[in-house]
Amino acid sequence: MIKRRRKYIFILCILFAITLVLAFCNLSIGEKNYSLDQVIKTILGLSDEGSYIIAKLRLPRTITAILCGIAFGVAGNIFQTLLNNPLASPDIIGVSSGSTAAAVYCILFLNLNRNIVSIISVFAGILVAILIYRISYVGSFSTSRLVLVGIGFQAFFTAIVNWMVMKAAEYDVPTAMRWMTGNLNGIVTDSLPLLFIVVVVCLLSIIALRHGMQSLALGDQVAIILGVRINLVRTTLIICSVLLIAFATSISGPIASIAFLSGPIAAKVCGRNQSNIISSGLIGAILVLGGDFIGQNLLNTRYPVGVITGILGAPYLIYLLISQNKKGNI
Amino acid sequence: MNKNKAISITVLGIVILFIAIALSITYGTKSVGLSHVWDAVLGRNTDVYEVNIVQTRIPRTLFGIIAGASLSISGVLMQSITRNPIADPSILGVNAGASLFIVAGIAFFNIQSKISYIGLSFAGAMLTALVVYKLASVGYGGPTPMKLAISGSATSIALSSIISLIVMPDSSVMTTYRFWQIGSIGGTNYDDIKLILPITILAIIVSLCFSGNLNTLLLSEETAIALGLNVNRTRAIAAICGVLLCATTTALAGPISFIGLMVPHFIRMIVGSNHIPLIICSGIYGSSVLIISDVLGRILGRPGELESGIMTALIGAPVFIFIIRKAKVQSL
Amino acid sequence: MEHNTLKANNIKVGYGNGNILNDVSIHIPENKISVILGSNGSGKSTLLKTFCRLLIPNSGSVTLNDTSLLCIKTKDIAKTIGLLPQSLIAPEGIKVAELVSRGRYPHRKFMSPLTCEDYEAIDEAMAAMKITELADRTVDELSGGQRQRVFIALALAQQTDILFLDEPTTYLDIAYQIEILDLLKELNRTKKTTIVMVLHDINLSSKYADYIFAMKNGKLLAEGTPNEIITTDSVKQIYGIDSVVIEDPMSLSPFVIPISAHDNLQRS
Repeated sequence: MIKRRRKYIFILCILFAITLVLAFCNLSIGEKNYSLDQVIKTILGLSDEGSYIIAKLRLPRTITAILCGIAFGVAGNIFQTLLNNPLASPDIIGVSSGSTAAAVYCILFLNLNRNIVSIISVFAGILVAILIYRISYVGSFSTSRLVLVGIGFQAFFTAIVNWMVMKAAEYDVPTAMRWMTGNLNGIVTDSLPLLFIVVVVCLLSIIALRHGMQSLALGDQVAIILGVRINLVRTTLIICSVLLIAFATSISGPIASIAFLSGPIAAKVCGRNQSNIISSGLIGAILVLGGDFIGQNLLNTRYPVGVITGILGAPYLIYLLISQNKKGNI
Repeated sequence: MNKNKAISITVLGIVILFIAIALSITYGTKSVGLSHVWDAVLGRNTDVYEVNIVQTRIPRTLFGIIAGASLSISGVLMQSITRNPIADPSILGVNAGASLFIVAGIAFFNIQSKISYIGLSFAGAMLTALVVYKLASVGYGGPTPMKLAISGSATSIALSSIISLIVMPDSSVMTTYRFWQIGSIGGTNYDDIKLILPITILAIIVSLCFSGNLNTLLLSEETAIALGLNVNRTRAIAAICGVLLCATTTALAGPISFIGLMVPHFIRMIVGSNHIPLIICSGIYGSSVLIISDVLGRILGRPGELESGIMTALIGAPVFIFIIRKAKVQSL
Repeated sequence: MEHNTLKANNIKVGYGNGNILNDVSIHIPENKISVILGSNGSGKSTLLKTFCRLLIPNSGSVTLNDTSLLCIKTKDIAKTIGLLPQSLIAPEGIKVAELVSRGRYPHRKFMSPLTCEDYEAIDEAMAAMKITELADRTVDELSGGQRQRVFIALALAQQTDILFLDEPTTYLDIAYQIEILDLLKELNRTKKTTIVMVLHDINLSSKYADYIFAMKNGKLLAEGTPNEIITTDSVKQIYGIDSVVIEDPMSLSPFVIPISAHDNLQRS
């Protein structure tokens, strides 16, 4: 078991290294390419060459990609662990749909500025999450009811979002598309500090509660027997995840499939024997960075990151089908 | 006694349907009196504007009747096959599958004719339904409502991304798709009706013929086999009918969700799970619900209109949540 | 050897309005194996859950060393009382050793990794359940009997003085049933662990129990040693069936042979 722990830390280092490499790729490659040397000098403020493109455009974009990736990845993994289902991630069970609907409404109909939109969409996200929880609480808590109610909400808000986007004037559609798939265009630096603080605080609280979370995965009864204060642990974990999701969504839009894929990929890479909080966060960051890089540079049309990452969901589902069929686990 | 109940429910349904039809033809951005409508149909009305309105509203209403019945019966069939109360074309991700195939057809093969729309939509819908059902069957407990809903939802998200990938580079396809994916019976005409009516009638008749088998299928699979039912054939035929019914509607009107979920649910509560009255009543009430949603959309969305696809989702999602709240935990 | 006395005092327990347990008082005998017997719906599992604070009594109290469970920190209770529940979930793909280590939760400090003490407890628990060689297998691939032993090991790793088991032998064949009950008996004899379990099989209960509680309709019908409790009369009272009770030639405990309607016909 000690050996496994060392292996986990080793894998974390590799994931971290991949994240860094991808971040530098995103900083240096684009319409105009810069060398690694120039990038580092610009970041450190030693050189002015390309400072606008790197420091004002690419750096905020890359940092947002990392932070949002971590937020989606960690929150998705928490939901999947707590609900004990690899498919039950917040983007599927409607937790982010409230944020999205609020944001689209503010942008298309009220023409509010970005920071206000972010705040409103965070509140809407939290409100919807609470609503889903309250409505699914009939006498007792049941994960399957929570999931199904969430999917109902998802359908409801998706209908509203679709309608608003259709009614929108043509010129606003690109902005609106962000809210349907997730997009990193036009990130501004001033929204970053708050996102950073939220990610760090939530991440620390989640890590502190990781043993409790692992016990909850054995079922409520066993968790109580092991002395876990299940309501406290579960509520705190859910609040942290919802905060992560809502803040990230308010800045980048709901980047598809990140929350859904990070947990299972992390489990595949590191095994399922630890809580996989940090690993799923890093995987999330890698997916967003990679998806953005592909969407911006490798295809003949520029695609928002959410379209690229969303497509990853399809092969994963097929993989899930095949691997389970092999096990004969019908 | 049960038979009388079923008959009275059917009669009531037909009355409601007629009221809905009358509303649908008279109400809208501009209301036209019933007598004027009659005049317009007989060619006695001289007001060209009113005649035009009536002439666009009649095919729309007729299409609504067919689409509502198709979607609702399709829901009944899918619920019986999966033995699962929340199976519905939209939950099963069938809409997304149909969309993907149609979008690919438009973008890569430049398809134009409505019949190829229907063909592609059927292929996409069938494939997706199979994949989602298989995905949901993975793991412990078989395809429970929760697993079915999650796999449907996950598949839809993945498929919509692929759709965006195809659609985004081409703004003309993008525009067509954006309006199609909302789901509305507004833009349909007599040609559409002529095209889907035979398919719909055929599928409904076949499913009625198989209703005895479907009743047996509702027992456990082992029991059905022991009773001598060819389970796989029954399932396959019912599935083809179900997918055909929703795929034709989806191809022409775009995705209209939740009709197949809410209508059969309430009908089953009243007439029980015998398939003959269930299919007939679901068809009749499904038509009424879709037409009334369409009318409501016209009233609420003034001066424009709220598309029927949106209306059914706005009404259907709360109904869905209500069903979930009422269900026992074990059965989820 | 420290003694932990666990008592239920006039507890009434139920879901919603109705009480399933009505005014039950029980003192769990220390360092012994007790078995709770009763027909379906007699309140056996409810009683077990109440002792483990999974259910809170509507009135009355469960006390550990004369302090109500409600007044003790849940982590501290977890160091004294363990439970093997009826339905168990193993996260997919988890290794046996890892699952057993989850039992160390109440002993772990905030934010710290497993200590040497933890590893010792885990190894000991796996050795006691004879699953040391399975440590690196995933739980999914184990047989029913092996899985059950892994979950008991999880409860053992918790190192509690009192261990409750809710039907530990259900769904297992007779060989596994004997194996598990033997392991539990050994645990009781070597470590003096107080064991309380719900069993359906009256003859296995009689063979392994030091003490028996008989439940009926939410009340305690009788308690005592197997020899006192398992008689033709009490079997009639508990299960409503006629039987002949003989002596098990191997363990010298009472052995119940139920009488079927057809037996009677043949005799007369």
